[in-house]
Amino acid sequence: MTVERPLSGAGPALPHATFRVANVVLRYEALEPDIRFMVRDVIRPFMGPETAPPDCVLACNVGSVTPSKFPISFSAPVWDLRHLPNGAEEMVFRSTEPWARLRTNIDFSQGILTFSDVRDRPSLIYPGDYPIAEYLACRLIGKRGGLHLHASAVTFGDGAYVFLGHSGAGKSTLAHLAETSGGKVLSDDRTIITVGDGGAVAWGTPWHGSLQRTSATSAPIIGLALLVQSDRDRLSEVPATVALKEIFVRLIQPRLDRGEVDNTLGAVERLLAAIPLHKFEFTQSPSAIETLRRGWRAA
Amino acid sequence: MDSVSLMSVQYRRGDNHVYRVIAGEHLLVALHGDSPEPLFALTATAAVLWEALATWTPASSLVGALVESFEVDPGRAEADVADFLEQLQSVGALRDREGGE
Repeated sequence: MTVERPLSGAGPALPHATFRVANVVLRYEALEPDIRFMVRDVIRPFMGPETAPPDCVLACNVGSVTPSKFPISFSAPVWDLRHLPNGAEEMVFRSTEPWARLRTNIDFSQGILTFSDVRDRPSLIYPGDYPIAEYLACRLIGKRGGLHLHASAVTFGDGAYVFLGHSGAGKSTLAHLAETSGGKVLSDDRTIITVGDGGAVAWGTPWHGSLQRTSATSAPIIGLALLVQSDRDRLSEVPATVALKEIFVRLIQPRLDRGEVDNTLGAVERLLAAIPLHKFEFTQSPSAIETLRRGWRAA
Repeated sequence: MDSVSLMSVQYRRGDNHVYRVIAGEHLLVALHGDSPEPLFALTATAAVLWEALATWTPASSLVGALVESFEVDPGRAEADVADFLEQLQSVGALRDREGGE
């Protein structure tokens, strides 16, 4: 999320906003009268309904984002995490200088989100933007035992196929091939997976890759594949002991909290029990999709 | 890690890793993203030692646990314990203190 001047193509400024990705609902509320929320086109399908019970209520304002005096618990390239004495967490997002500060309570049900006051008022806040919304979604998904993965996902009439891969593995390429073969892309870069009594479900996210495809919908997973670019199309099952490591290294969720990590590992275990991971060697041609679907039908 | 330090120091696993058995694999996951290795698969032997390291434990007790669980000779067990403790230390998964406290 950022604070900036209005973008053309964005909707009207709102006094509050509800963003939903997978089964996580973030409610944005203004702490100050001149704060307004504006929704980017890519985020719009993920907005509302306003009546959805929020998992986290974010009170938003503009002001100083100076970090607290407490020591940094963990640093990443674009943020610093501090644990406050009352158990709350403070995340400061920065580029060359801090530009936003997020303080959350212990269970992440409430937060105060402050943006740097260097820009002109009235201030516009864009809900759902990377990286803050994705970070919050990751933490809340982790608390529930879901997975946020470097993966594209496409649906056909029979369910969703999820393609795991690091950057350059071909996630967007395969999503495009599936699309030209009649599939619908849930995400071309980042997919959320939940595993419940009814099986594993893939959810689209607004945080897209080079194909720029997103969807606010979900579908039961019928295939889970690790992408390997090749000169042939071939599907082969990956042993569970290897599969869990391949999935683990493609998780986007930060490993900041013991309970969340344990929940996430449990979700990986349930996912693999429901849907075995396959290695999909593919040729970047339409035949790959036919091989994929035929292979899974046979499996 | 020499035999003198093995006998005079107590060890305990650190708080920055999560242990879980999935698909028969004994996994050790490092908390925080800056760990040099985020995921380890422990052998069955190492898993026994990890469990034993839940409380402050002298190396001699770890050696005893291996001898009892796997019926290996004490010399081999002592070498395995020393190797494992060194590996844990290298990834920040081990705490130590002088024995007898």
